[in-house]
Amino acid sequence: MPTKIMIIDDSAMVRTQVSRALSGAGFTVVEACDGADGLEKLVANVDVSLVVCDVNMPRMNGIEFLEHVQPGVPVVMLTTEGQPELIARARVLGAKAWILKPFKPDMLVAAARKLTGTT
Amino acid sequence: MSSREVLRIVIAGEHAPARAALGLHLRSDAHELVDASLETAHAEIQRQAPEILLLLLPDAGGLELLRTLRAADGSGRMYVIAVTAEHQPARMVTSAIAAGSHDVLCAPYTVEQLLACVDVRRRLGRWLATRPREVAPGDPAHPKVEELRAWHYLGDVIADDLETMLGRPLRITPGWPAFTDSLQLATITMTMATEQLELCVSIVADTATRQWLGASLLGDAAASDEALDDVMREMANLAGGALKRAARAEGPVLSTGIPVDRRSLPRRESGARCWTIPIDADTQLAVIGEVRHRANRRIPARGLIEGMVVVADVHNGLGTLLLPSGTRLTVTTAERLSALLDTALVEVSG
Repeated sequence: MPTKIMIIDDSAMVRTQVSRALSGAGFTVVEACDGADGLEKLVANVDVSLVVCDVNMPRMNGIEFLEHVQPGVPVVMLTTEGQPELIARARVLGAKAWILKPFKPDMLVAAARKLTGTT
Repeated sequence: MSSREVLRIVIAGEHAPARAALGLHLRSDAHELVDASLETAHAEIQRQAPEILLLLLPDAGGLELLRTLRAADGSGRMYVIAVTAEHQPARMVTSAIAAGSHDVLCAPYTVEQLLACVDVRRRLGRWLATRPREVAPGDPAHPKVEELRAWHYLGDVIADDLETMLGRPLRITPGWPAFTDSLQLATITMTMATEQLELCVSIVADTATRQWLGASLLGDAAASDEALDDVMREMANLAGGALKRAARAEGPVLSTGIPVDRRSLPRRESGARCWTIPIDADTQLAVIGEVRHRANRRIPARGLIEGMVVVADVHNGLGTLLLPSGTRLTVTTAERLSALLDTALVEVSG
């Protein structure tokens, strides 16, 4: 069964680009439009192995999502933000990696493979 | 000269022979040299805390390394000299400066020129030793947003990110776009609450350019208006992020908003600045930067809404920090603060 990854971003274009990159590498992708939507969809998708999450989003941002998400699901932040305090905060809350936009698909796929233990 | 201060210099780049050549030139000036590939450079810089980084460009990843370093340490204390290969476009110089380089040495150069660049850091070091090391936001010595180098070079600051996004080299030049009809804008606002300023960066396109964006980024020349609005908002988001990271290298921390759609250009007499990016004969993008002055306000916490930026750290009655200054409120945070603080006054911008 393909490994399932969730992308949380308020931009439909980013969700599409991430989905394309990950689907092309054999992953199944679930999309959510902000942190709150991500939390709701995680309830129905307990088999999600990795979450790729933006930081600046309306309603619930990526840091708030990290505060609320159940521990155990690895989260990679995908954002234009590079503020060290924010990166440190995300690390404390359990984020496994921080990727700057615009992202290179190969890099994202490599990170996804490493964190989900797939080859 | 034995009385000269010995500087620790990291020489970073992909090509070992080029690094070795630079090292050979510098050895005559009795410096402490550290050789590093781009892969090892970050760790070496953390370990060695050099006074100078000599960064070979345009090695892939060189500018990225510089941005990462500047984002991680906005103090700018490490003096960076970018060394370019021959026949580099002039934009490489501004890209390097925008990414956080203090100086750029363009090949072909002489050993004397190299040593003179290094000597600038030596003189700067003596001058810095007489200055206070930290300047707090709000202090008159803190750089004003309008004086930021990153703002001055906005076009170049965002060009690299847009190139990566669009997957093609871009030529970006100062000047207003030729198109005037059917314009669509996506604007991201960045706030510097302590200075009571907002920086707005807009991506501008007409109908033909939006169709080109749809074909390029979505693989759909007939993409819906909604999808194209989203593409432009994401471009504005990238532009804002690039500016924020570059500004951070000079000190100020900007709070980034969520990109929104606009339908009209700002007035030129407002002081807005514009850059154009020709795509082909029929299509061109434009990037506009504006500065707006906006007074901060003190309001009851229950009046907080999404998008406001808190100006000072917010604590509860027991003195526990609830939210650091500069945080832009989401719906979730605004609701949480409203419930916790109710009528307590909070200073906000936006």
